[in-house]
Order: sequence, then structure tokens, then C-alpha cells
Amino acid sequence: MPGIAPPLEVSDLTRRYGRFTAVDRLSLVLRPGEILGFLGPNGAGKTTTLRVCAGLLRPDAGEVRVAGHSLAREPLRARAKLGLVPDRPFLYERLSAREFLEFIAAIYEVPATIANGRAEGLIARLDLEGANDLIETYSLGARQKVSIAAALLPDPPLLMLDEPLTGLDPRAARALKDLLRERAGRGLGVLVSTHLLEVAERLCDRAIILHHGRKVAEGTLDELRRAHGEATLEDVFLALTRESGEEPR
Amino acid sequence: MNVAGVARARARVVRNTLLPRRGRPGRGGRHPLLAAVLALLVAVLVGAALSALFETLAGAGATAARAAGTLALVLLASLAGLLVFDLHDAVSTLLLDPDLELLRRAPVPGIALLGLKLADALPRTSLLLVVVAIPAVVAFGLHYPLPAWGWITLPLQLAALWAIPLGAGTAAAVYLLRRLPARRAREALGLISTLTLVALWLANAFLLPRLAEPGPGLAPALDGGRDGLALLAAVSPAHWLANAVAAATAGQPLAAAVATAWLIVVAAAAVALAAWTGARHLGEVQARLAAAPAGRGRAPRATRSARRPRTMLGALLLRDARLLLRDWTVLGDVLTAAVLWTLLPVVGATLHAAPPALLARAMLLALTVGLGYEVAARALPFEREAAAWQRLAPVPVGRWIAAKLIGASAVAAPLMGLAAGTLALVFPLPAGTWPRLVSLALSALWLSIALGVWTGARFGDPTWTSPRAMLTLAGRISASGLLLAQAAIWFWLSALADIREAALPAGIGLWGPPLVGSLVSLLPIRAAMGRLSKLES
Ligand SMILES: Nc1ncnc2c1ncn2[C@@H]1O[C@H](COP(=O)(O)OP(=O)(O)OP(=O)(O)O)[C@@H](O)[C@H]1O
Ligand SMILES: [Mg+2]
Repeated sequence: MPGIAPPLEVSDLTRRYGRFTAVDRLSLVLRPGEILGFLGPNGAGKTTTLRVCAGLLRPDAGEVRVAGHSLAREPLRARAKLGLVPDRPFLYERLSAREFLEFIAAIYEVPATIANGRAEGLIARLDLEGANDLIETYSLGARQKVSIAAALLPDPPLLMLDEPLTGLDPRAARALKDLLRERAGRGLGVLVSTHLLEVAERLCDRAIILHHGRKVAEGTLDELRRAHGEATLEDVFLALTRESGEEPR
Repeated sequence: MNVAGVARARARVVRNTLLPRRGRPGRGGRHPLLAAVLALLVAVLVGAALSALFETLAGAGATAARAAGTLALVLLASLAGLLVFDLHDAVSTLLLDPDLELLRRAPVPGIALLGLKLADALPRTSLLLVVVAIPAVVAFGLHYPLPAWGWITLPLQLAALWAIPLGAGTAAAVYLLRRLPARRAREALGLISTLTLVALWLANAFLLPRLAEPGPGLAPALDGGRDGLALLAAVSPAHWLANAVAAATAGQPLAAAVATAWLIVVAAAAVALAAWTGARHLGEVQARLAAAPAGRGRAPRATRSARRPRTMLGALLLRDARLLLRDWTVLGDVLTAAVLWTLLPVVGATLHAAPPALLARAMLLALTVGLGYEVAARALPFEREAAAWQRLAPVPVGRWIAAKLIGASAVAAPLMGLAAGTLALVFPLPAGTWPRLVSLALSALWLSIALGVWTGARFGDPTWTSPRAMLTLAGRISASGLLLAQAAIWFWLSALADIREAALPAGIGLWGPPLVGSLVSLLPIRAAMGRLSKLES
């Protein structure tokens, strides 16, 4: 589709912490209307990649383009097009959820009338109780709901979620999955990192498996299973991320 | 209970706090060695001031009993302070201490546990004893010589004086937490502690020097109020201690023994009360706290519907206003600090009679540079981890900094206005000096706010726990250096302008400071913007 830039384009991205390379020459493209699963064992570099793509960390090499805008050269335009649900939510403890969403709408310059409707819609869909209470009184799951609502509120072309199901009960998890599907249906991009392979299997169109900061596999779930001759995604995952010296199962 | 094991673990904690592991610069805030040195310094200063006071009294022929009245007032002030701080500390310990939960699951009886925690808190709860009570008694003893047995019984008497508020405060803390919502109780006590600090400071700055004044000072007034004081003296442990010391000076062992006995009996009773309360109610209180880890709070609806920001800048300011107004520990601390900064020059000035115009200028300058640190430097770290929104959202960094500068000015300017108004009432200065003074103060305020925002961006510690330590230790030291430099340079420049008035362009006292202030402030503002856009999270 000429004219429509992919929500996210990462080329040769490298990020180091001191001498340790957390992400190593990673390239990926997230197409419009796609939910891309980002899988990998603990410490594979998923969070680091998402943070670099959101502009919270600087890359040591490579480029990130969000909806056609280079994150390094046009940071404000690129940032306006992305939303992030971080692994630990960034919240103001002494605002209520409604006040917080109002603040988010203002700094993303979402017109007040639209923002209001969206905020109420998200509060209802995510079943966020006590939206007028201070966030400091919220449970883990309620905090995660606020964080998700904040990322969705500006309705950005690129949505990145880092372990978004943490703390959510089954009903809220279902609501989130439905929300992501609907976004994809509208041609927006979703990149979701997770450990939960069943979730990836049910939710994602494609998946990338990351190991020691490198991409070790990429494709639709069928492609992955077929290419590796394994029965389930779990088998593929375990086979690809086996440490050297470890016995194959 | 494995006493040896617990003691070993305690020792390890103490060692790790005192000697941070190499390569790991202890996370902002705690630096006990520095704190100990500072405490010692303050103790020496207080001791010197009181020694001068007692010397004056002795020189004027005041009897030991009369001087003991003054000593009793000083001790009473520190007793009141100790009570408030102990109460606050016991409540905070019960509420917040992370290893309390751990210890609670160990097979340790509640009361032993409370004892352990309070032993941990000893260095903090005894601070006022070290910096006020002990120097006061020693200063008294220097000018009203104590016999040897007087010095020997002194530690016992001071220990009793220390135990009384500790016992009473602990018992009161347990009672409070049985009834009040925990978080509110802690915040309220935090504010009361800060206010107590102000009260002590005020007493130190204004009342003490007056006590020593020759002629119709405060001392006769105190004598006049003797009947009221007599009642106080009968029930105040501070007075018993002072009387015991005075009796020792006068060579009356019996009177000293009676007063000391009173002290010890009451101290024993206070500790017993704490132990009894703890044994009886501690389990219940802890269960209550465990059931409701954070009291539910409601954001006032009115503020929500009434105010809706139209612009991004408006939203940033509204957020900061809400966060500040809802955190009265921080707010109370800012207000208190403002008063202390204003009064700082008075302490020095009582020693050397300064001309009012100079004193007013010094007070206003101290406040303005102080506010830059107290208000502006906290503006960024105040947001904690949520400051990541500055890098996540499409907000130009200049907008974020502008919001901080405006917000800090909005808090600082009224405080300064208030201080200036008070000064105008206290110091009858010629009307012509005020415009120049205001111009100087506003310019200094703006520069100090810009520098403060930069210190916050550079040294802010997003994981702060005490509102007085939102910067790392290095940051607090650098900020203090900057403060001194600013105050000194402004003061020196304005004094120079006074002296050279004839040779300088007309009206420089009016337009010079704003010119200098706004030009120089561009540097820290640019640096703060650069720093923010380079931060990672
Ligand atoms: N601030 C940091 N300093 C040094 N090393 C870091 C830092 N943050 C992450 N790392 C290292 O980088 C690697 C990748 O970390 P990252 O958090 O991106 O992994 P992840 O895939 O998100 O893991 P998880 O599934 O556990 O969340 C890990 O080895 C981690 O130890
Ligand atoms: Mg992670």
C-alpha cells in the first residue's frame, strides 16, 4: 500500500548497557492493521526494545521510524503517533484516574470533547472502578487499567504494550484483547511483548522471537510451526531459545 | 527468638548504612556520618549561644535558681520537640518500615519487636537531646559550677528526660493508629513535626537573645508571670531537671535527689505505659494496618468538574497544583522552610546590631535564594517516575520547563510577598528604598528559581522518601553551594551599587538587577532543557 507508512519500522537497532549488548542489530516492520507478538525469555531484550522505540532510551545504532517519522530527527511528530503501556506504569499517585486521563489528553492535544467521550468509554470497557479516587489507593490491576487507558486515549497509529496482562483479571484481559483486535481492524498497529504463549497464539497475526537481543525467528504462527517442524508455539519457543549445552527435549 | 541472629543482622544493616559498599554511591539521602558531624556542629553552636546567655545572667548577678528557670524553658522546648518527633517516628516506624512486616512473621512478641525498631530509631529520636538539652545543661554548668556529684548524676537525669517523651510518644502512637486512618495520621504528624521545628527555631532566634538583654528585657516579664509558671514548674520534667541541677550548684543534695527521683519515677512510668500499651494493642494495630495498607482517599469532585485546562501549559500547571496541594507533607515543609530562611539573617544580626535596611535586604535575599532551592529544585523530582511522560508524550521540553518555572514562581512569589509585607511592618524603612529592594528580590528570585529547576533536573532523585531529600546528597551539597554563592553575590553587588551610586548610571538599582537576573538565568534554563532531553528511563 503506497502512501500509508507502516506504524513501526526498526532497522539495525542496537542498544547497549555499558559493555553489555541488550539489543543486537534488530530489524522489524509492523504493518498497518497487524498485531505483532514480541516473544522471548526473561532478559531477551523485549523491554529495552520497546523503550527505545518509545523514545525513553536512546539507541546506540540503528533507526526507529514511527508512522513514517524518524524518532531521532522528528521526535515530537513520532511521539505523537505512538502509545506505550510500560511494564511498570508511569502514574501520578495523587491524581484520580479521570484527572490523569484529562492530563494525558491535554499533553497529547486531544480536543476536550473527544477526549471526554474516549476516557469514559475506556473507563467503562476496562471496568475501572473508583475513577474519581486517587490512584495511590488502586490495586495492581486497576493501575494497569489506568496505564492502558492512558496509552489508548490519544488513539495513536502505533500502540506498544509491555506485558500488558500483568495484574488483569480474566474479564479485563478479555476486554483488552478485544480492544486490540478492534484497533487492528481499523488499520492501526499493535506490538505486544508477552511471555504468555497461548495469548500470543490467540491474539497475534505474527510473532518475533527474540533471544539474547537477537531476532531468532519471525513469521505467522503457522509459518513458525511449519519451519521448525514443531507441534506447538511452545515447542518452537523452547527449541529456539534453548541455551547452548542444554539437552534438547 | 534468636536474639544473636537478629543482633547480627542489625549490626550488618548499621555497617552497610554507615559504610556504603564501594562503587555503589548510597541512594540519595542517607549519610549518617555527615549527619553526625552536622549534629555535633549544631550542638556546639547552641552550646556557645547558651553559654553566652548564662554568662550574661551570671554577670548581672542572677542566682542559680533564677538562671535555672531559663534553663528549664530551654529544656522544656526540647522536651516538647522530642515528644512530637518521637510520636511521629513511632507512627512512621509502625506504618512504613519494610522489615517490620518481615519481623512480624518471625516468632517475635509484638513488644520485643517494637523495642527493636525503637532501638533502631535511637539516633534520630535523641537528636534534640544531643543538640539542645545536653549543650544547655553543660553551658549552665560552666557558669554556675556544679560539684562533681552533680556531673555524675547528670547522665541519669538526661536519660530520664529522654525516656519520658519516648515512652509517652510510643504509647500515643499506638493509641492514635487504633483510631485514625493511618496515612492521615502520619501526614498530620509530619506537618506538626515541621511546625515544632519552626517554633523551636523562632524561640531560639527571638526569645533567647531577649532573655539576656540588659534592662527591661524579657526576664522581668517572666518573673511577673511567675504564678502561671509556678504551676508549669510543678508538673514539667524539664523544670525538675533544671531544679535538680540548680540544687546541685547550691550544694543541696536532698533537694537534688527529690527532683531526680521525680524524673526517674515519671520516666519509668512512661516506659511502662508504652510497654503495656504495646503488649495490649500492638497486634490489633498491626492487623488493622495490614488490612488497609493505604487509606482510601477521594479526589474532591469539585476541583475535577470546575477546572478544565484549555492548553497544554495549563494542564501541566493544574497537575502540579493538584499534586502539591494534596501532599501536605511537602507543602508544609515548603512553608516552614520559607519561614526559616527569612529568619536566618536574624540569628546572625542579634549578635551585631545591623542597620534595619541592611537586615531587611539580607532577610529578603535569604528567603529568595532559599525558595529557589525549596520550591524550584523539587519541581521536577516531585513527579517521581511519572516524569517519563515528558519523554513519552509529544511535549516540547521547553514547555515542560516553562511550566516548572511558572509553577515555582507561583508558589514562591506569594511567600515572598508575605515576607516583604511583614518586613515592611517590622522595619520602618524610608519609602524610597522599597522599589529597589523589591526589584532586587524579584530578580534574585527568578534566577534562583531557574537555578533550582536546573538542580532538580540534574540531581533529582525520583525514588525520594523524605520531602527534605528530593535531591541526591551531591545535589544537596551543590545546591547549598549555589545558594551561598547567589546570596553573597547579590548582597555584594547591591552593597557595591550603594557605595558607588554617584558614579553609576541613574536608576541602576531599579533596572540593574532584572537585567543581570534574566540574562544569567538563561544559562541554567538552557542547561535544564538539555538535561531533560538527555535523560533516559
Ligand atoms: N538499566 C540496565 N542496566 C544494565 N542492564 C540492563 C538494564 N536494563 C536491562 N538490562 C539488561 O538487558 C537485558 C535485557 O533486558 P530487558 O528488560 O529488555 O529484557 P526483557 O526481555 O524485557 O525481559 P523480561 O521478560 O524479564 O521482562 C537483560 O539482560 C538485563 O539484565
Ligand atoms: Mg521486560
